[in-house]
Amino acid sequence: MTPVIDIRDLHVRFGEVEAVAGINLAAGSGRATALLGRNGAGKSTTMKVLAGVVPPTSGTVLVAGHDVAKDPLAVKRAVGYCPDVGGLVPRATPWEHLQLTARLRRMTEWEERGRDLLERFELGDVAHRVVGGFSHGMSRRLSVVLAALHEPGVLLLDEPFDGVDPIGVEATLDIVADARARGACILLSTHLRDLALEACGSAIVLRGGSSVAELPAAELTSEAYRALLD
Amino acid sequence: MPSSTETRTETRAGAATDLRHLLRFRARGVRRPRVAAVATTVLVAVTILMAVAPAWMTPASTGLPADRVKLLDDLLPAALAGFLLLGIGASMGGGGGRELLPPRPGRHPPDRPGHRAPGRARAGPAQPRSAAPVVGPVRGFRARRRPGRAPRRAGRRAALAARRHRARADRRLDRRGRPAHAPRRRHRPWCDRRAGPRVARRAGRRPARRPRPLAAHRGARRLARGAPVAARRGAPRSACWSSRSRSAPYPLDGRCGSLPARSSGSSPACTRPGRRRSCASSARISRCCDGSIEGLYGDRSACVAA
Repeated sequence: MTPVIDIRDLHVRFGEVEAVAGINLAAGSGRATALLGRNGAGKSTTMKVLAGVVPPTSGTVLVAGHDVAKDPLAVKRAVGYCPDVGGLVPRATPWEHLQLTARLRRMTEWEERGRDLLERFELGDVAHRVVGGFSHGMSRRLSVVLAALHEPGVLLLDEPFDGVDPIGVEATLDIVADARARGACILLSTHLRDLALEACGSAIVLRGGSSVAELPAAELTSEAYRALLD
Repeated sequence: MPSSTETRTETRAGAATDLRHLLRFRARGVRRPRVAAVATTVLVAVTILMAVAPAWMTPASTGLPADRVKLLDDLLPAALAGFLLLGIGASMGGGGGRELLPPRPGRHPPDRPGHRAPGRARAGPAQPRSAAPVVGPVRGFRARRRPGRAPRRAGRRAALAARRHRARADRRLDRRGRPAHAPRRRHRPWCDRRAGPRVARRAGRRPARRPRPLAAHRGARRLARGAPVAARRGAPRSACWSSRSRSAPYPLDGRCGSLPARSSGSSPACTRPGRRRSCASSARISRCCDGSIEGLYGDRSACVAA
């Protein structure tokens, strides 16, 4: 089976800092993979490369059959990306964000799904309030909604549980489960092992920009995770 | 198989469409659209003038000596380069693109509240609060603090009682049939010569601003004309009460794209009774899970209990 996400020897360098130092990763459709690791392990940078936001310094990255370095626009069309920070316009409302996302992705029948997603994430009553007044958790929830609106084939969620209340966590887990059932490939980056294992079938632990372990979620016990991080 | 030219054309068309959507999205966030429109017009006019005017500058037309005109011609490229550098520096200093960064913690940005809440605006006259966004600007105008007016913190009921009391006192007549006391004159600093703008400026004070008359307000004008103040979802754009209507947060397709009220009874989230979100996640919901009407804005506790 051809993997939807195929990363081979990925290196990303920012000046003298090497954020990602040789990661290999393959993820197929209908699977959810968790990226775990400490701060600065290279999780968010890897997600940005997969989303076509940051170009790779070296290595080959294929997302849904498109090379990230050669055709980033096609990659952006294929993925739904929830960034770890930012991505929202403070003066716009969630409904305006949904409208813009739908228009840029040339979606026609999106209102029903947008409304449903807002209600699932408890954002229905603030759909017409500007995002600038939102709490961190509300912004995170909205980012997940925007990433999942167009039912992408590749769903990239970077720290989706950060500062989110239990209802939001539950809704995010539902989104991941729906995407898996649809046959999408999900990559989820988080610090929270328990939630990652609840959402994903396999986990990859990064440390210092490199992958140190790739194992099924059930085998990643708390002790093993701690040992891999230290 | 499409040729490379066709692909490029499609890409250009798509890029133009994307740019149009982004510009319209950005334009929605402009806080003072009239000021922005005037500033843009002035900028374009000055740019055209600066581009065209040098062509008309000849010794015959200006009456200047030929060497002066030549000097101006020679200085123009340097001036253009200087303005270009100035513009680049200003845009960098102004923080272009900072909107995509998260808001600073601890800073509560101005809400665009009630004010552009299409969902609330479209709810209809049965809900008293729904009228608030409809007459938002008018309400904002009236809510300005003026001398002699009860502060809002005192509560609306207290203010209403005080107004009734004053009205009753004004209606009382004395033995001669005249008002028991003259109606209290409102303190209007903009009408008072001593407190007029000139005097204030001389005294080093900030002159009092005269509020815009109610009738001059855009919303009031439209209301006076009998124009519809809120449009239902799907209504044509003309039904919205302004081009920046609250019923059309980002009108791309020429129709009011407001968020329709959720019917809680049919929502999948409402199949689990006893949960808070099942009943009262939206202020517009008036029915509870079991179908019972819980009032205009829904009694959350009652909904939870149900």
